[in-house]
Amino acid sequence: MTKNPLDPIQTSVKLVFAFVLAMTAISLVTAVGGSGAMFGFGSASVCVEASSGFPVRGSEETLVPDLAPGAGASVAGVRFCAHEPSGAQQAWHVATKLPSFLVFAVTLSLAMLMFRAARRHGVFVDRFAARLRIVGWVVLAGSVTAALVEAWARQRLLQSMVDHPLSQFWLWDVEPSILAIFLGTLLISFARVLRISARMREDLTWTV
Amino acid sequence: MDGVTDAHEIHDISVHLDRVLAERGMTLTELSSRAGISLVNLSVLKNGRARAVRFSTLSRLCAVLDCQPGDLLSHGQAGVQE
Repeated sequence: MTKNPLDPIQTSVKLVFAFVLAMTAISLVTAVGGSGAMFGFGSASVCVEASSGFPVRGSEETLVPDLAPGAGASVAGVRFCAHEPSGAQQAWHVATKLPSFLVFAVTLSLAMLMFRAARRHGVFVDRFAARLRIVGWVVLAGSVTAALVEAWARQRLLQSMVDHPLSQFWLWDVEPSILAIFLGTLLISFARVLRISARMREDLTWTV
Repeated sequence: MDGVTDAHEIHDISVHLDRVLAERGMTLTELSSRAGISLVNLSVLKNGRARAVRFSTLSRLCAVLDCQPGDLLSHGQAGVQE
């Protein structure tokens, strides 16, 4: 009995897809019911973390009283919260969370479709290679785009909570997932290998 | 890469299995049973749809048909059916 070449990733994707679907449905129900929040929708307050280096007045002594001799303290980040957020603040808040989830959800959905196609047509076919390539590009471009949008939204939300104009160098706060970029690149490369394999399989089919 | 692969798929080899069979008064079915090659594979070869021929296949064909590989294949006459 030949093992399914798509396992364990196929089973993992199925389980994660079911879990995400269930959690999204629960979050949606609680957000609509008013007892919870989903990507910032339905939350009473919105908060955003400022990156390290945000100017804070005060000395180490005022931050942490009773410091032991020789010890120091520093501020690694500042958390801003708006307790009665405006519509714009809520929108920025949503934009700091939603893009990553969308990329994740689209990737999972495409992977599910890809595995379904593989069950019907096999793995060593151009069709599977093309779908794998699409998933790779979604992971690669999606993770970078999501990181850009989220950093920009964080900057806008932060700006709405302070009176002085913030630095426009928000690109420094972009934190793309290195793992996602690596995974996307790996999938694109693997799709190329698979496409060559598909051609070889086709050649074998027509070898007498 | 695609261009290279596609270029490799274009060939100018003609298969003359029809002519050799006619000269020996043999049918494809008979050749299939005597050479131990499936009728499907022989049809693929005869109709010029094969992308590659194994030496073992060529050897069995030549043994049964008492011919040389050059009698079955030629270069530069693609599309010419004799």
